[in-house]
Amino acid sequence: MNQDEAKFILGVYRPDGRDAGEPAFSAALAQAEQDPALGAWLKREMALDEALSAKLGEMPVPDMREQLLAGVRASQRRRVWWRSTAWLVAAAVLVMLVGVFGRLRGGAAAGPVDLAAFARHDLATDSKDHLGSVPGLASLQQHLSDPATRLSAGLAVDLATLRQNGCRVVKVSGRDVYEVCFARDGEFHLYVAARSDLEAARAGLPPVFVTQGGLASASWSDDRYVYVAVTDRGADALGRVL
Amino acid sequence: MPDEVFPQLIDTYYPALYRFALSLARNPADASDLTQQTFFLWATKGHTLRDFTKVKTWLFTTLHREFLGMRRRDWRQTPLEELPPGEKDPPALEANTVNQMDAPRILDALQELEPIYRSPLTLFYLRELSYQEIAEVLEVPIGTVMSRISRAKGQLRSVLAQKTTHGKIFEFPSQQRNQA
Repeated sequence: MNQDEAKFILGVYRPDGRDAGEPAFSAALAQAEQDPALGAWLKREMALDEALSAKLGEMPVPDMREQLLAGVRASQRRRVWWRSTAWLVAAAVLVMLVGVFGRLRGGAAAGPVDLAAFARHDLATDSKDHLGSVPGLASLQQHLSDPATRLSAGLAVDLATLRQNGCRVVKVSGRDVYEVCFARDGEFHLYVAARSDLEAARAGLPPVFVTQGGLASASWSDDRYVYVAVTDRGADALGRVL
Repeated sequence: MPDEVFPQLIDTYYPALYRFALSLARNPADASDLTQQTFFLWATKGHTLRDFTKVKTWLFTTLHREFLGMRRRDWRQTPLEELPPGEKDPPALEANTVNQMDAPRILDALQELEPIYRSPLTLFYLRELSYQEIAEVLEVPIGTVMSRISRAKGQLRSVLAQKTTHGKIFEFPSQQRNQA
């Protein structure tokens, strides 16, 4: 192996021993021990790599731990029950019954996940239809924009009042879904639907975060309603308003 | 896999995953999204992984795939930049010069590389994965990984050299704007 070949190989060698098992390095390392110039070059190269590696390790990381844990646990709760075959069979029967019931009512019932997917799609494709500030909803929009308001802690909304006050209403699987826009370090959109219209998860669970196509959504529910909040400011920003 | 493993997984891997995401996505919002999406996918699909020793590789691979998907969906947010061909003998750069630079400046330089070079070089410097694992994450042969890292190091050195003259570090235009 000539010096250029040795340099090529040693240039990608990491001095922390992580790559010691890679056979490509042993011959080049042996050559560096015999060749003082190559050895000095390797020493400089490793010092530079060490400095660059340390700098990358200094990059600040935002504190997302609780947000990640909440997302993971919520997803885990949603998953665990269907590990059981018995539950799977029961779920299949339930889906069939809901499907029949949904057809009887004039449309298939959607769940919070469907609502969240719809909300992200709605925000991505129909920006001209969003109403922004609505005079009749000023009080609610002001409350939602207040940094002290935590959306998942409970919201005093009433769908009939929202409709009377000019709230945008869209149809999802034949059901009415109400949308209120608000601003808080960015633009946010809150979608609300009656819990009785949806296959809602148990109330009080942590919000479920999904990020797709640059839009982040969080869905949760209480005793009366299913909520989905959507923003293009990322899951971090969404977590702060919840 | 028991639920109590999740906090441990997050504590162990999320900083490195976030830094990898930040080098790929070039902005903190997308980096956070990629990190969150990776753990979300772990929560929903991770149970299918039978070999627990592969968790780390699985997480990095998933994040990389999500980044590629995001770039395909919205290429305008992450434009590919054409860089001049790599030099056979990149400019000399001393560790002391790097030590004088702050971390975001190094990251800025790293982010100027093309993604196919940026990804392996970031994983190389993060020191979380072996070469075999990097090859699995990027889904290329190990020889390709080494070749790309070698070329990436030359490119990074060229970019860093452009940002320094006689040991003095130039201000980035964005930083000057922020200070104005």
